[in-house]
Amino acid sequence: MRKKGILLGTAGVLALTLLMFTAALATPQKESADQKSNQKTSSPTTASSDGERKFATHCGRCHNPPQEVSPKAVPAVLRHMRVRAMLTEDDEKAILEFMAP
Amino acid sequence: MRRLIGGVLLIVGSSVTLWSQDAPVISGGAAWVTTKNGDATFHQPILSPVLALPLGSKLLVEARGDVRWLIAKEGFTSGDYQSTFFGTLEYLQLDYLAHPNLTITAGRFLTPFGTYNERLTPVWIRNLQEVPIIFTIGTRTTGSSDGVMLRGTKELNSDVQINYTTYFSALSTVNKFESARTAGFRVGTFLPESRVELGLSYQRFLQSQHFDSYGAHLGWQPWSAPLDVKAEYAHAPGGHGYWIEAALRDTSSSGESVFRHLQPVARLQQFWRIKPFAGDALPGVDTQQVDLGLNVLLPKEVRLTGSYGRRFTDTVDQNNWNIGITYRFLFPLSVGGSR
Repeated sequence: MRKKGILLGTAGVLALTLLMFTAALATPQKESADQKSNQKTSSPTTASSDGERKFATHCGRCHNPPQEVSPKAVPAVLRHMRVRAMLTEDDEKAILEFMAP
Repeated sequence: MRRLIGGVLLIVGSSVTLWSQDAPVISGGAAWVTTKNGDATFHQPILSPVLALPLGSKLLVEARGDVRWLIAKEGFTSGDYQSTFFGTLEYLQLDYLAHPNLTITAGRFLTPFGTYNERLTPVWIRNLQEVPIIFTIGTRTTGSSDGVMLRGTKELNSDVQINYTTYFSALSTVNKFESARTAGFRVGTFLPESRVELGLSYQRFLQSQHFDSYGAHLGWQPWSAPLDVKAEYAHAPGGHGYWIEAALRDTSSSGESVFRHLQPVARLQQFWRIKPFAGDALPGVDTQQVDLGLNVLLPKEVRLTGSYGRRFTDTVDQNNWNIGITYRFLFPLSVGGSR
């Protein structure tokens, strides 16, 4: 059991290291969020930038970003997330402005 | 009977139209998951719809069901295939946003112990389809509670948010509303600038046996790399353990990166049995497990999932295989809607 534990631990650490290495090869998130902002709007307002930043900060903590969301669905989704994901009221409003301006 | 149903639908529809300024939403996930644990193979078609119904500016009704069939051979290893149906109401709650820092919830809600149960259980969210070994600590007996919950988040400054959840649950043996008599709380700190969350959970189990469970959770999504790291520790009288999971999460807008569509996952977990404890649904012996998975993100919210795990105990070692497909859906209902 002790031997297996050491093997398991080593395998786990190796796997996590490999994953981190792979992650390091992929695109840094902060930069890509800015790029996305510039692509979405030719002159992003402070509100939308703030909302996008908060979107990236909070929504990606649990799940991949949705590929497509109807603007009509966004208010209910965000209130749902405010309760479930412990968003502040300000975060909810900022993300709402970003997702359904 | 038709008139009665029609009348109820009319009243509900009218109420929704009058009350709701935002469109209600139906979302959730559908999945097919095939699992092979040792020699036992089983298949599960799963449908898990979620309703979010805003009422005015302060109220929200939320509900999630879980409908699944367990298709397996008799005794799991031999014989004819048979299917067993399971239908579960995981939550049906009314949330009142009383204050920017306080939400009052009444009804049936997911027991807030750690973060896995509340945030990571949907089939379309979880990185690995198998729940962690220590999942039942703090969530027994059903993962859901019937009672009252207070929760909220306070932003101290742009760098620090603190959140809290406290609840009381009554014992219920009502079909689809089963829950245990418990009380507990969870507190956490989230640092938005570094995307780090740390928290502690406590629960007092208050029926038949009285005992304490406590736990800690960590979440980290560094800005410098598309990595999602989560970990939890939990302790109950019968045993204690932890899991740590790392997954690639590339949310960049660049379509060139292959990692935008591939998500490798690794999870390491260990559990130590302290003493036999009736009904805790934990392994009977010390257990260690490592899982490696790969998810493929396809268009239209479809995802292929696959993983291999090896479980080690003093008595037996076992391979666990898992493959599946998940689909996430989300659409507004036609009534209401200000946007």
